Amino acid sequence: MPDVLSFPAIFGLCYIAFAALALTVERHWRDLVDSRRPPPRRTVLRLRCAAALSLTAALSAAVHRDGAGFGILLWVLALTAGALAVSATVTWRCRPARGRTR
Amino acid sequence: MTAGKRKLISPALRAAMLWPHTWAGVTLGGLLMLVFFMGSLAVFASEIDRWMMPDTRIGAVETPEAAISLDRTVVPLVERLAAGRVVRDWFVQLPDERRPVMALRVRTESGTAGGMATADGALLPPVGTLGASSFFYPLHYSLHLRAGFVGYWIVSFASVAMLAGLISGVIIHARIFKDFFTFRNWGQLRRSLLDLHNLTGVLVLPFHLMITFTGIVIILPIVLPAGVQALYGGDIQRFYDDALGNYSRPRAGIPAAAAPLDPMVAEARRLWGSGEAAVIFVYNAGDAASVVRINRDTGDRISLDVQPVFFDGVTGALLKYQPPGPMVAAHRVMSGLHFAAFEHWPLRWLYFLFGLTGCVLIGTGMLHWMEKRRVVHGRPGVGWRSVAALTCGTTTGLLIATLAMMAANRLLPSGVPSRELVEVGVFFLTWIASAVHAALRTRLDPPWSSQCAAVALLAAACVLLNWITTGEHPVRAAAAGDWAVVGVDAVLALTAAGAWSVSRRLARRMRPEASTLSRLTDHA
Amino acid sequence: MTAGAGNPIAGRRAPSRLRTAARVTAAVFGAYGFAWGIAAFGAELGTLAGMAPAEAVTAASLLALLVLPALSLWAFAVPRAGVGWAVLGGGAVVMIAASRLVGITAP
Repeated sequence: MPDVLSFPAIFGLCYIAFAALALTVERHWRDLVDSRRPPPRRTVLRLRCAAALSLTAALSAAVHRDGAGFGILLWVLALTAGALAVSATVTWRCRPARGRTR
Repeated sequence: MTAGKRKLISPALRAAMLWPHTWAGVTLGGLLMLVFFMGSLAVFASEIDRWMMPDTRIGAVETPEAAISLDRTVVPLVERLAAGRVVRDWFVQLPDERRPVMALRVRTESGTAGGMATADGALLPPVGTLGASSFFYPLHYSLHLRAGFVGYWIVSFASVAMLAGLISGVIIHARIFKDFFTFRNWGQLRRSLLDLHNLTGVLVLPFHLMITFTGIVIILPIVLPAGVQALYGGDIQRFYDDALGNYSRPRAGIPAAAAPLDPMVAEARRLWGSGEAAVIFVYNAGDAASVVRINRDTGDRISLDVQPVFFDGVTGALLKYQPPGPMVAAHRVMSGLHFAAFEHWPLRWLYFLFGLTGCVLIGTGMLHWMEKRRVVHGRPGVGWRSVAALTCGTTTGLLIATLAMMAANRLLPSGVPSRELVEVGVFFLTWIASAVHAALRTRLDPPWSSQCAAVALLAAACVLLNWITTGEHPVRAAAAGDWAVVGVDAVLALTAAGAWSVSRRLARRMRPEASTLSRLTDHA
Repeated sequence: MTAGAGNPIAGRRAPSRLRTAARVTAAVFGAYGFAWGIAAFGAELGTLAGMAPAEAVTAASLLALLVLPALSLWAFAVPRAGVGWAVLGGGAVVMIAASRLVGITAP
């Protein structure tokens, strides 16, 4: 993978992982997917598996890119960046919905 | 997992943690804001230096790959800087990717002299500024209070409070996993502030814990000298010599001719196996007890271990090269994690961004306290107003002071006597002025709107002034590959745009708003 | 840091301002003293165990820094401020004395 693309890829994998995790949280599931029902247990399980897979892939990509020391550091920080981006997305997606219900 | 946590963290414990968390934040928040903000700037100290010292960037973008000859290029420069006086010690920082010029410092029998020179040995005119690396960065770790390490002690104390604040915050905020991604930026302001406080506190917790802890670790032997007292009789120099493999010896007083330096660099590179020399020190120059120290460049690794190699300055013989033991090596890795001296652009940006989220964390904490107090107590009293003014002075006020110094850097003519001190004066006077302004104008709220407008105007002025005084606008800089200028200008422009929109929105609403935080996120 | 150890005034029904002061001083000075004790005693123990002095000092100081914030918070979490002072201050005194003792007996 070209060096320029690998960081966005790592970040994207972290983003996907946290997006999946966010959907397993009942509040966000109700806001984003189905306001009547909590997420089904099988879906939660699948989402968690997907998140774990994405995180592992991101870690391996980061270590492959930069070696163990820098790779792990980059992975930890990219995790945070991904989680922040997901929460920004959740905020952005929920705001108009809330506005309508008021 | 959550059930176990609930048992582990009792409501009583949570209640007990609230008091220290709140009051550590309210009393030390302003100081921590300064430390986090200046630390974030320090990540890009070299780039801000290039912006503030145009002479060191123009025409010097590409570094020659061939190693610089110390004997042919650097030694004559040292003699020119000494200007006939007897040289005692000197050092040179060789050019690197982020600083295309070399920096020299010479201590003579009467005073010191410093300067910057291009890689081919042409001495540049005095830069006339301390820049980010000698002003913002020391402000971050020592507050420029050098005497008796007072600044170190204050910053370390605040940092331990920050660590305690992070831990107690996690204990207080038990619904971590439920609220993991939640930021309700609509509705009640107080809840939005708390959401953002929790969000940054939880999501960026690994970075904040790491950066605060490693920050203290760097100066640990100074602020917790218990072990040095016990085993080294309190002699910190002897401890550092022992731990870091340093070497020193007194002047002999007998003049002696110096050995050539280039073979020593070659030998040091052979000892390291890989890597380049970054800094070369010559102690006791021209003396029989002369010592040459060569530091390795740490850009390719996390550890800050500079692997110093010491040579006899007269014979050129190897004096000392001692790799550290495992614990000291771990200490150097932790220090390196904090310094971020490595060549890694994604990491550098992430450090900058997360440093600013530290500011958001602290700022929202203080704003939340202010809002809560306002609700509970109604009419604001003196205590509330002081905290409000302090918050304003350390967020927008700090930004105004920083930007004013950068604007002054572009405006002051190069002939002004002790120009660098004038710049520092501008920084502190503007800061005091904005704090006084905040204190005077705080009635129901600090003057967020007008201070944000000032930030916007100053940031925009900085971009324009850089263009006018150096002729280098962002487009031309980008075309020339001068990414330091592009980056600084871009962040300045973003700051201006963000601060302006916040200021307009505040002026329209004329009511309290999460101004600092949205501005700071925009800033990032 | 010995003066406040077991301070009886810092009990449950004491004036709240005094209690608060006792807790804050315990969290600042008591915890620092305790950390100092860990760093000093740990460094001595490390050399006894055969570590190089610089290694022992670094390891013990890092350990002390690791527990320092937790100790500070514990001074607020403990039900009685006096107990906090007694443990932190007392522990500090004991460890510093022990480190001195080790330092004298094993040069």
